[in-house]
Amino acid sequence: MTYDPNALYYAVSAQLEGSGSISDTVTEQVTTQCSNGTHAESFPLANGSADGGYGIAQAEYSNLGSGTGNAAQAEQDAGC
Amino acid sequence: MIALVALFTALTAISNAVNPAKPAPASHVAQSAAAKPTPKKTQAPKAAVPKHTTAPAKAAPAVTHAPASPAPAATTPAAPTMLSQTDIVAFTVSGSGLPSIQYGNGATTNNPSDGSGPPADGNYRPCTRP
Repeated sequence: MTYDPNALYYAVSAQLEGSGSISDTVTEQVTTQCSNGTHAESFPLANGSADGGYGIAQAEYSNLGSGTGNAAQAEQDAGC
Repeated sequence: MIALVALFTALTAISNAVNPAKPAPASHVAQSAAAKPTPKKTQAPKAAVPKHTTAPAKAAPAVTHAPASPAPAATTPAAPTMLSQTDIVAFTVSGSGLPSIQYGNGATTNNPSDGSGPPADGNYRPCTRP
């Protein structure tokens, strides 16, 4: 989904149903189109994991107080 | 005799009074001749001054334009600009099993269908089933 600076949080929850092993992540992906090329950059925000039974892998990133995202950082890294 | 001399003197004085009017034109000519070169001299430097001022004025911009044009040519290729930018949040789940997944941002919560889908939308990736 599109990054929303006003969002309270970004979270993903994955619960096993009896068995298995899972992991989940929340990642912000910024693609910057410059006059000299395209630059893609990923910013890991949160991750979680669960093993066996009905375990829950919870990855949640609180967006409060950091609602600017990483667009400016990505632009700086792209050099344009 | 004295009266004749006095008369002659008076006539001479009169003729001298009249004659100065004749040489006067000569002096006027001389003055006008001298006055003519004066304006010529003054006009000449006046004409030369604007020529000198216009000449360097024309040369100055030519000199300033010459170094100004290479400068942008050197800076233009070194300044890439941003055309557009996309910013998304991806939710990924991977592993084994058949997890029940929810994802969202506080305003919306999504429950992907029980099946695989685009990994970045929170759907689980194909896992090894037990």
